[in-house]
Amino acid sequence: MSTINMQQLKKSYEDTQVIHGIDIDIVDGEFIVLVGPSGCGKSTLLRMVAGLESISDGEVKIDDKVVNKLEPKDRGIAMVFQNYALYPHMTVYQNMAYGLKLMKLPKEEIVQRVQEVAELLQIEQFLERRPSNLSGGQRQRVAMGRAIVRKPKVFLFDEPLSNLDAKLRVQMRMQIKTLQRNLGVTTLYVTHDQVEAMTMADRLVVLKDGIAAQIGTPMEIYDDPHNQFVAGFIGSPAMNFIDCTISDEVIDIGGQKMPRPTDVTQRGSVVLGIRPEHFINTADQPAIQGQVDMIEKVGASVFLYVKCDHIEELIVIQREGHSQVQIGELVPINPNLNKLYFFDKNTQQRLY
Amino acid sequence: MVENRPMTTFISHSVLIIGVALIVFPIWIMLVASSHDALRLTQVPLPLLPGDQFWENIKLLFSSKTFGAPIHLSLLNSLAMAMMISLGKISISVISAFAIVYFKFRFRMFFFWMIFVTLMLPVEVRILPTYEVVASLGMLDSYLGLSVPLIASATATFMFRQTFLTISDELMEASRIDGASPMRFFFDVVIPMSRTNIAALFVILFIYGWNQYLWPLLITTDPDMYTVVMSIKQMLESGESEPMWHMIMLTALFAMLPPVLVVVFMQKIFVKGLTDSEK
Repeated sequence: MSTINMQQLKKSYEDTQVIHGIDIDIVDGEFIVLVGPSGCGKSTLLRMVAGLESISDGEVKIDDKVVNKLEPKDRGIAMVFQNYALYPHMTVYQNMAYGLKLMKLPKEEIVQRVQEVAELLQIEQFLERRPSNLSGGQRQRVAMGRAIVRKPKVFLFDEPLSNLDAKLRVQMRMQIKTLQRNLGVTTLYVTHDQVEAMTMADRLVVLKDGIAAQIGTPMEIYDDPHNQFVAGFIGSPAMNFIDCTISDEVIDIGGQKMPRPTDVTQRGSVVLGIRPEHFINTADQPAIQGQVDMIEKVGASVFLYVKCDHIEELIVIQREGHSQVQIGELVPINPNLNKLYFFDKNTQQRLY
Repeated sequence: MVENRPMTTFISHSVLIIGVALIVFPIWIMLVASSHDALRLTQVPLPLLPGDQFWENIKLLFSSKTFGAPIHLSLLNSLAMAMMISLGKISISVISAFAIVYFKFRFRMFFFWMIFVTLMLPVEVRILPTYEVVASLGMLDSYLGLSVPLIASATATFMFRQTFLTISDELMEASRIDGASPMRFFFDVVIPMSRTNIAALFVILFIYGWNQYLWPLLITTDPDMYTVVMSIKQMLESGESEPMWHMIMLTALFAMLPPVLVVVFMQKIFVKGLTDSEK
């Protein structure tokens, strides 16, 4: 049961700075997901909290105690690694008991704790096996077991599901979330998968180039992205970005005009963002039309990739699953005018 | 490559058979010679079939003191030297490789290359200065003198370095989080994970140590410190008298035995250590 505070956390390697001052306050029992494209510094940040990377500047506090200089073992953390990092020459039991043995716990307590956690994770029958005789999902559970037996104040997960196949990943995603809720342990979780991030997080931290681009609950970030990067990163398929000019009457997209919602006060050249799911499937408004270039069927819905005159990128439109649109067909492009986003062309900050 | 051409099979088999014969024939001669009496071996043609004197010769070899050091003593010396060299080499190189791979210290690469450069300085090259050092340390005619100068090993250090580099960093980090100190990590994770490599290296180094000739020859003057490889040579030069070929061959046979046993018993693990990269 504990809190984590990061204050102006910075990390530099020689003369390149990779983390540029991050402030996050995490409350007790919260599930925080650090998400971002590769190279954004999310793993580095996690490893700084773990104590595996030194902290160049700023502070990390766990339970209001500065841990900058503490060894990982003294921080009250447990970590699950991407490649599980199980000791290959030890059995599952030994893997889980190793940390406890080093804590100098009495033998009976070690046995009891490992047994409990093994039952919780349903890996009792593997206790005597070596990791090499386990499947990916089982190894994943052992790695989590090793973290849980330590009874840490904080769980750290470093892309723990990226080596699993899609179906197992969804299963484990739910298991981890449920487990975390039941144990009530404060958790930092790193992933590059935005679906994982959305589904698991209490709050998300979207990182870009070592800066927290936005911090908030998944729905806050989805509904109200602060800038073009966050808008494009969260949501699948990604938001459409279209260059346009707003005048007093209309939004001008490459010569084709759309009515201006009355509450949009900006004028001039901006980037218009529309999510694929925010198009209306009717032809009654004066619409821009486009030709369907490619179709992706995912079952529940269909994504149309539409080529419009004067717009460079293909626009992605979501339709319901049994939509009978064919390639080459002309479709109207009718965005829901209440769900438009506008971004500054230069700063990429959200304007409206 | 799966081919089935009788001619290719024939040629490749012939080459292999000739190769095997070249290696086996001298060993056969050794076996045969060690089972005849001294007289028979001075007559031409040399016997090609075993005689009946094998046990007699063994008894003679182990009871006699006429060949310098008693054979069992020189075997023991050889064993001690080979064990000290191989175990010493392994323990020193495993710990220096650990330092080079897992610790960041100043001039790390410099030290690594220093170690590497010693590959160019085997004992034969530095034999006089090394002798001088060993003599001043008063280690002539001792097990330490026999083994210590041969212990530092760049090859083994290099090999362990390569092995350690294949152990994932995540394991080191996991053990740090588990609360293991560097030396705990070394003994609990690194060593168990390199045990096949250690075994493979032990085989190679044991044979290297067992076969040492020049160095023991130089620093031992006391016949009680002679190694078995040396004794064979000594027996050949036994003054005016005829060389006792049956005894020499029998000694050679005993000299070959320990390396053979080591290879046979450790073969499985040896091959695994050299080829297996399942980490």
